Amino acid sequence: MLRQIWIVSALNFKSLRSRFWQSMVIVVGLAATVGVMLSMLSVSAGMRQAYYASGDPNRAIVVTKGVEQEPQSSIARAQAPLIAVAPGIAKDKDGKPLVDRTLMTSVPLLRKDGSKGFTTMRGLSDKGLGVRPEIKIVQGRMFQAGKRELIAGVGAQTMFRHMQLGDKVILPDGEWPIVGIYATGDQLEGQLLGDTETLITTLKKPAYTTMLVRLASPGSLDTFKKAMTTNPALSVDVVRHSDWYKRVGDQNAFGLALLGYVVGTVMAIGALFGCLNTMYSAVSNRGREIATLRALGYDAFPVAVSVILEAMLLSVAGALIGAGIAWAMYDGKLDLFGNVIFHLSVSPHQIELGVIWAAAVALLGGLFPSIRAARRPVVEALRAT
Amino acid sequence: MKYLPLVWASIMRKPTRAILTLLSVMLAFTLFGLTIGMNATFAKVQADARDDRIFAFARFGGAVPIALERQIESMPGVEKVASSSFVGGYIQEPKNRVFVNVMDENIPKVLPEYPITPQQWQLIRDTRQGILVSKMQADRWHLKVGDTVTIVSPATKKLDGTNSWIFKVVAVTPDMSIFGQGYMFGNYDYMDKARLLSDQGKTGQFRVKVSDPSKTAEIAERIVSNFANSSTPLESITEKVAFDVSTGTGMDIASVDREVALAGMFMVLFLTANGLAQAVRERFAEFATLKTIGFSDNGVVALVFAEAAIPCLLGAGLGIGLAAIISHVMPKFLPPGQGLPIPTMSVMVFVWAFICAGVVALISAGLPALRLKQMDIATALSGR
Amino acid sequence: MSAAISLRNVVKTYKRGKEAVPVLHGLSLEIPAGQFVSLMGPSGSGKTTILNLVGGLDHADSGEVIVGNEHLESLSGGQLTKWRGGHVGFIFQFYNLMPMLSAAGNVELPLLLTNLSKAERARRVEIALEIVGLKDRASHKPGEMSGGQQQRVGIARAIVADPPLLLCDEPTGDLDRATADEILSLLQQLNRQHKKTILMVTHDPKAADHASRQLEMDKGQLIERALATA
Repeated sequence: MLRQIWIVSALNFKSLRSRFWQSMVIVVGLAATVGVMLSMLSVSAGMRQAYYASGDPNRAIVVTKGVEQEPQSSIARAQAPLIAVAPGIAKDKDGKPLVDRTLMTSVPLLRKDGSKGFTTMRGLSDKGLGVRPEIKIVQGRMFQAGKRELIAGVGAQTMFRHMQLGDKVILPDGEWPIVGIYATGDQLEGQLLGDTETLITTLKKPAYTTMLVRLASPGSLDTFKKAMTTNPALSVDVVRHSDWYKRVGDQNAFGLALLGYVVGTVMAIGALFGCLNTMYSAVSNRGREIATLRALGYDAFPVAVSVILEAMLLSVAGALIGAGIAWAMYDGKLDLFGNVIFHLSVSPHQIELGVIWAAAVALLGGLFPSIRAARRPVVEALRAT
Repeated sequence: MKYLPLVWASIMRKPTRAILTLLSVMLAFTLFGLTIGMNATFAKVQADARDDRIFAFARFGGAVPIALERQIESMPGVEKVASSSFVGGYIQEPKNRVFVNVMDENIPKVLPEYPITPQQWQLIRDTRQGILVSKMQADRWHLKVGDTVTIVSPATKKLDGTNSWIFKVVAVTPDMSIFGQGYMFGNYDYMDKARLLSDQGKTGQFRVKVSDPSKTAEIAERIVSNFANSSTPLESITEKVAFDVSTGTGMDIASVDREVALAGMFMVLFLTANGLAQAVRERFAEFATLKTIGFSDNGVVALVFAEAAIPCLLGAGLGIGLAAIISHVMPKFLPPGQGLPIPTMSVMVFVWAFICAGVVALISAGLPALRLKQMDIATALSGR
Repeated sequence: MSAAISLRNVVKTYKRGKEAVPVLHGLSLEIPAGQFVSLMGPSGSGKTTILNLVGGLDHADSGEVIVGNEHLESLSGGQLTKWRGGHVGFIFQFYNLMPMLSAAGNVELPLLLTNLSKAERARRVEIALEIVGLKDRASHKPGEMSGGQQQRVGIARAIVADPPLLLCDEPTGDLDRATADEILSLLQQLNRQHKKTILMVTHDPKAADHASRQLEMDKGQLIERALATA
């Protein structure tokens, strides 16, 4: 059986050249479908990646109870010490708990094209770097606690004007210089960082926004969470940092991902028809050939399978071409949505998805023609031109 | 036209294929309608944006003291200032997200074009817990006048220690295109006085009305500079700039929409061109026969074009119709604040759809038409 | 209504790839109006070529092709097309009907090119179908008919615009003896009663016998076979 499939398929392949333009229809159709779909998904995928990378399973975020978005959270100053003494928190070399008192605000900036934009300005406290070791200073230096200084992320530097070392950001009490540029490999790179206490004083903020703690071990989350949620003085939720950002990433990317799939489906339908038409033609053009094979003793099934295989070969080739183009054009490009800066992503996972999509189209599009090829009465096929 | 039966019979030769093709074209045009319709809404919102109004809000996030309202109003060139804030939360379950915009009494003077009568505005002043609910929101949450609705807002803590906010529906008002999923308007004082003491006296944003539209940008800048060194520095943005969708979110949604619509059109082109090429190939002898009967080259080409044009135009009409239905139903399923407006099926959307359908039909018929024109009748007839 | 046919010194060469295949070398032929002529000959002898030239489907390389006083060699492609519609009816071996149209729909096709009203078109279609004896089959599709019936529809289509000339390419080639005889009798009727000039190309000597004049093509030369008694 397998041998028959192989022989018939090889015969198909040899005669492909005579059906070149028709076969191109499948290749082009699927290249376009997969290419467009992956281009659209590169935005949602990239955005989601940026969010996912921001969350660390070794960290936990403490937010106001019931709140779903970080900026809506508010932790009173008096509560900070209560959180810092809880069990389950990792300690630095001095035995101090690794807890970061975070302030989250926004700061208006000019985008590169001159239009007004915003990004997040985040306060990092004294243990900030210990809790967030992914922050690497790539230019200049880290800001000093108590000083009116800021550092800018490489993403912010790409998206906004006046983000070079020495440039000044206007805050209520004057100009704060940018003393360093940092990189993190996640969406934090699109923000500005400063000292929490100094920012709170300058901006006259009433409270911290959230607390970020480094867990002693991934498993200590439960201990920490229990202590927080059973403390009557606190009204907070504790979520593993990676889970928090997974949810935020999924939510924010949802609409865009949906759009990508809808468009991909619409185009796949067009490609499906292209496939159907081409394969019907292919089958009728080779009617004699197929009938002769069958008269010689080849089973109907290998004939049918060979038709589907041909369709799949062409469509997967098209998918890879489309994916390749999308990858070359978009993968890694910097993009901005709201004030989240991220890299577009055409990942192997998505390319795999595109190939599966194409194979599905080929399967559906080749099914009816293949059945027809197998079922057509041999005598009739031999007689026809 | 007398040739219609001939063209129709040609299209319906393979009824399944004709129907599937029509459905696919319809789908592509539904996508077209939704995306271009969204652009139509953006265009309307942008056109409706007033050139004499400014948004002012906290430069570094958070709330602004409501006392600033009078200060801004005293600036030269400013006619009136109003403030609004919001209570965001959910009804019964976290997935039922709602926003109540709480307004002060100056809002009707600064936003006079809102489809709300003075009597309706007065209702939320008279009943402090009152809210005006737009039709879309009323339908979604099954609310009618007189109903009490409790909104849980974890971010807005109350004096009494809870975060359950009780409102009463005093009127159901018309929807507006700027509020894609509808709106709820409430009384600012009611919210402010029930909040934690430390949060009171603050609001989310100011709406500033300027007397001379030519001075709007200048006054917007002055608002920033006047308060730059105060305890709450302000940022401002004119309404025209704020509602400009291409710069608003940093991603040019309007052109993404156009690209998506184009992708759909490409699919239709692919489909139609393919189907037509196949049909002409299969029926070459039939076309030759028509030529022997006396149909001219152009006549035969016109028949082929009609065979492409009818499904395209029909699909366009049906597709836009379906898009209209979806737009109507969509808001009921999307969470509010999703950011995307409801598409409007304006006249231009229809016009563009039909133009695209025509162009696609033309291109599809191009190559087959050429083959038919160049056809050597004698050879074509002898080939069968 | 009949048309006289004159071919004078007609030369026609076909190009098959790089090869030039001469088919007619200076052929001359006179067919008076109202004659039923059969043309026999081996494949490639040029008989179909003559049919195509007389019907304005093809241009001669040189010489004159005159049908009903019209010099076809001086007409452009577009003019030939226009001329064809009202002056020639074609009947094919494999009928060449539109499978998705009914018999009436098929017969109506030539009339769509005229300015006749819908009612007038329907009337003429009915007349044509009646002449060929298929009035009660007007709404049937070709797929629902026998070979003979399909050919009758083909004939009805060829005569519906009342052309003076009928050109037949192996009209009975795909039919059995009995049906072929019926079709040929119908052609005779069209010739004798309706005065149509008919030029029929055929392989079948028995079919050729139905004509009033028989010609044979041999290596580009025309030979008169026999004049049957009218």
